[in-house]
Amino acid sequence: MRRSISDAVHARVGNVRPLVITAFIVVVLASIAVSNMPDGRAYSAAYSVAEPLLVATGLDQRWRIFAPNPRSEILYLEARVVRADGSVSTWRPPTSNPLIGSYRDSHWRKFVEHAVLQPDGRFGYGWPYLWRTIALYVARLEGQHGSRPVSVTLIRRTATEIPPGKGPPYLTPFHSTPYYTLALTGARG
Amino acid sequence: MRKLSSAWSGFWFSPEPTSTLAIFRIVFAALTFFWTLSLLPDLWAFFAPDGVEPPHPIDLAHGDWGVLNLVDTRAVVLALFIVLLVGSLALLVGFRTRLASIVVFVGIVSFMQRTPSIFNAGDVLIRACAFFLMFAPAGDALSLDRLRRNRDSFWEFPSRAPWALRLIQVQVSVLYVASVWEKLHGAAWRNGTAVSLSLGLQDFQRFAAPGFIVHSLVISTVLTYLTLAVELMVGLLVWNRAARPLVLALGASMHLSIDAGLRVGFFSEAVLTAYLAFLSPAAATACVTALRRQRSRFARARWRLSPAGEHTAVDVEACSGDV
Repeated sequence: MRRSISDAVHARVGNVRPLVITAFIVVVLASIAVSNMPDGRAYSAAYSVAEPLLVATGLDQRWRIFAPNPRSEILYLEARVVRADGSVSTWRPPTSNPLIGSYRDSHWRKFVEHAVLQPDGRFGYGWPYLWRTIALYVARLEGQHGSRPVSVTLIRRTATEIPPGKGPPYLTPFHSTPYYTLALTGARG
Repeated sequence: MRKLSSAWSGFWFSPEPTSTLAIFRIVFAALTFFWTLSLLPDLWAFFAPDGVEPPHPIDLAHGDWGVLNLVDTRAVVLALFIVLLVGSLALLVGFRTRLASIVVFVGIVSFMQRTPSIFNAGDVLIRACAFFLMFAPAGDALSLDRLRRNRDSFWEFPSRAPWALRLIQVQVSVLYVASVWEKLHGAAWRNGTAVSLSLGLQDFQRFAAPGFIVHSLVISTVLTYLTLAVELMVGLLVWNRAARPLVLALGASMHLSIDAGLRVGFFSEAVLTAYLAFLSPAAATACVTALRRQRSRFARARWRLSPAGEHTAVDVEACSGDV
């Protein structure tokens, strides 16, 4: 097998800046280790030091995939739009076909989790800072047709799964909880 | 100490053929291309200043530096989207590979830092792989870069230190071990209801699993413990050469099942792509050689097509023979 000179040179990477690369590897491994440490004081202290590096390099990670518990609440987001003429419409995040569209839907699904859950809830990933921008987004979207929106109310629609072996029924009835209202005044949408 | 140092050097730096890296690069680039495309329908909703998430200003103290944290006008969002698509294609064909890998990393981080609320664990893995790929000699084989530099030896796989590929392997292993660790803290994983609860989430379902699976405590318990066992096996035994094919096959089956049942985005695809980092260079080279042979057969068969566009009996025979 014929090898070019550059191939031969590259094959000897062990002699090229090995210490620099080793240091880099050690820092990366340490960063990943910190990012995956169990919760606690040691984690908080180490993470506060490593955070800039983890975020900047994209190595910030926490592999809580359906963990520590998968959520048992089915979550939907609705936005009730009241218009100046008194009419009411409802906006829901878009959904697509399950085959190809599910890749798009997964983004909205993740977003809904952050948008409707309480920050101190059981699953702990509620991000209240999203509420106002969602309401404004919906107002702009709905304001493109019909009468001017005067308020947008975000509604959490949930049902809880009954654990296996304890049903039927396998689901509690759905209930809707309004949790944020944005009153709109002045300019259209 | 010398033994340890030697083992460390051997693991990270002992040169090996770049066939594994080339295959990983191509598949990862294709994944990135489709990942980027999946953002298109909601580009304005997710990333424009008047979208669903407020902009996050650059905060270097916390490591935020994404392009869209600096400026997120619609023109910039669209430009970044196009640049990421083009970067993915360049990475796929290995054109200016190092630059393409940097573009891909910057694009992915910029989108993810702009709107963190829409991304999941699969996206985090894609981002991590993009980071590692920047440091790998990913364009040294099966690439336009290779073709330009060494046209005569395009099908050869020069040996390089595999340390960047090893980091991807470590990342995969960590993913599973950390995931099992987190799960063991949850009652649902310990009492066997976790799989049932996950599959029963209507809002998460892609194709609904049959009721007898979702609602049976026995089946759920078996599947829950099986999931934990497979994750732990992949995380640990993937380092054992003999066990590797089996545990990766088990892991792949698990991820394909998850992908069919739940809307987890690119999570399964990202993990399966990362599995390619464990393909031995010999196996990767054999895969490429087999594909090349198939291509030669296909080309020969096409060349022998009769003017009427039909194969003759001789051609069909030739297609089935070895080349």
